[in-house]
Amino acid sequence: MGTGYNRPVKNFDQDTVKQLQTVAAIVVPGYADLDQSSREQFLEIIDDAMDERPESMRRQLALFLKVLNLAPYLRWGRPLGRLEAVNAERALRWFQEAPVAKLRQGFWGLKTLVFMGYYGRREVWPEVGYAPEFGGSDV
Amino acid sequence: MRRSSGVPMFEKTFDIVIIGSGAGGGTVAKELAPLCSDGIRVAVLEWGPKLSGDEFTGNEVDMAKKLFVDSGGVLTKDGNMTLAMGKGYGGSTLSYTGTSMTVPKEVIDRWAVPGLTHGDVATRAQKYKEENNVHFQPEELLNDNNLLFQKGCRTLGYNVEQFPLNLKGCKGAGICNLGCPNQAKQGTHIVQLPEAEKAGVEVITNCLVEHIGIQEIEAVVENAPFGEPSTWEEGRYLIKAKIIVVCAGAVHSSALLLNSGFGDRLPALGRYLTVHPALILVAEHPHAISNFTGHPKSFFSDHFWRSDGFLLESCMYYPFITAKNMVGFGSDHSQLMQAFPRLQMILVLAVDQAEANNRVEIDGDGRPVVDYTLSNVTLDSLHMSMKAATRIFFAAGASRVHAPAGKRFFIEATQADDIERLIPRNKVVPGRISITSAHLMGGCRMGEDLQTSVTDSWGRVHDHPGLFVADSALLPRANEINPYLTVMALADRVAERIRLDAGELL
Repeated sequence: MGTGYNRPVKNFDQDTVKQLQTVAAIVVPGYADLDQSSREQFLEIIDDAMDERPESMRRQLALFLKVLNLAPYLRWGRPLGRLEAVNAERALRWFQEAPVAKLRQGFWGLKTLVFMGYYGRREVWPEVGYAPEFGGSDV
Repeated sequence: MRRSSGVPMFEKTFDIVIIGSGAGGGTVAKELAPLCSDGIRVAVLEWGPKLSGDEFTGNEVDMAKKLFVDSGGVLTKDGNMTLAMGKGYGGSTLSYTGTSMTVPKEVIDRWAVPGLTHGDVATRAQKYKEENNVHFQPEELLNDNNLLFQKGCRTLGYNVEQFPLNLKGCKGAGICNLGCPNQAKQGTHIVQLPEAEKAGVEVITNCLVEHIGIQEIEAVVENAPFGEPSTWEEGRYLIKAKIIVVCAGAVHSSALLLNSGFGDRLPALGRYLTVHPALILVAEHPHAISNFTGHPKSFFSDHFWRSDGFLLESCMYYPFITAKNMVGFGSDHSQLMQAFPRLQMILVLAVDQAEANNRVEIDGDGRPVVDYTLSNVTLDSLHMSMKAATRIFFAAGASRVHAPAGKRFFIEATQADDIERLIPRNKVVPGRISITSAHLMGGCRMGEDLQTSVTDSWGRVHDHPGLFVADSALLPRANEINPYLTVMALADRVAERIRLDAGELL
């Protein structure tokens, strides 16, 4: 199964992209309503951001996404992407509050990337009511 | 910063080379520029490019890439804090808000640097206040986000003061931290560097210095995919200079000197780093307020500075930065983001202590690694600051507040009397909440003792004639308020020393 993206992705394989999509839809519910073009922008921003990071960090991110996806088996017997919304949120919240620093930091980093992909798009400005005028008082 | 490698393709010779063009480097360049008329050759080597006016797009992701090292996403070694380090023609002055504060006397007294007096720093700071058109904005230009901060503080009896700002022709675009699209902030890219160039100083952009030797520098020129190309051809350079002034910012100045082997005789090099750990707090008002238009930072409160070690400042950020600074996700988080025109924001600056273990190191490739641990004292300050900011929000009329250490995502106005319980200390957990370095300071601290300092009070590196440091790396402890004016004052002092020593060194 493909990822549904038309543009080539530099830093993630298809499984990682799908896991990222799953997490994105939980972290920002509006992600599920994005059209194809907006989803491509979302991924492009994250993909470009990872360009600047060392290869080890890209591997860590892919590994962390796998862990996030599979960890819910322990409690609910199914992966993150097949949980009901309320349990999916619970699963991610566990990572946010995790007693182990690496798990908290991993979730924080992943969440930050998702927010960057979603809220870093200029197209999101009207949705949130952000309407800056860079010409300021000239406008 | 990279470990030096490869054979230089080109050689250049100057009398004085300044590494970095921010508040420190830009100031030194301007102050030494008059020497050019005597035939002294002065150059500034800047890692980043010079951006043209239309490249200030206001787009967060785009500007982060253009203005900050690694898009501002550098993490401390323990992964608990992000570090924002500016680069480009003008350095961090491209991306600050222009708040121009003279450091308080008691801070200089705490620094206890022999030979450095508050009077001297204040006199020099005053010179740059005048040069940079520092003034208070008139009240009619202040937006609701700022005025509500003032109102909240006054209602609670908290001391609140207006920031003097270095603006000229501000149109209230509101995106100071993304680079002013109207070139209104009077940073070194507007004031000091052009004046220095006019007098004959050569500024070379897209030039990364990798190594400093005895009166020589190894550097690489490589053009960025944005900004103006460097005036020098791309390639490796060996640059001879009798005087070298390091102004690459606290982290990169320290790392460059470490990478060049100076750490062997200077055990304090890279150490005593302070960062002003910062948090952003967000509140929602029941009605729209003016927030993203107008200068974002008009007021600060030092009410808790002495008692609890933090400052509060009005601020306003952009969608992605706002989103990432909240703890949580999902529908509550999205709801608050959708309320952007009703949001009020407060920035917390914790005053962290200078500790030897908080330090800049270099990795195997010569790149800087910041080993910094948030102390319990700092975490206590951040906890107290969240409660104080929440009170200010409610006193200003907010309907609900998001505190990063809140038990719930929102604290409603009806719960304002229950803040102590709703913001528990045990939720102030590194890795859970977004903590950013507001101002990086130290690593090449001034002093007399070779064991605990790197330079003397004039920025001269101990036992290395002709080698100076002139930026925020000099600060022996935190500045305890926004520091750029202090950095300029210290750089001015270093430049004076260089002029005095020039006869001997050149």
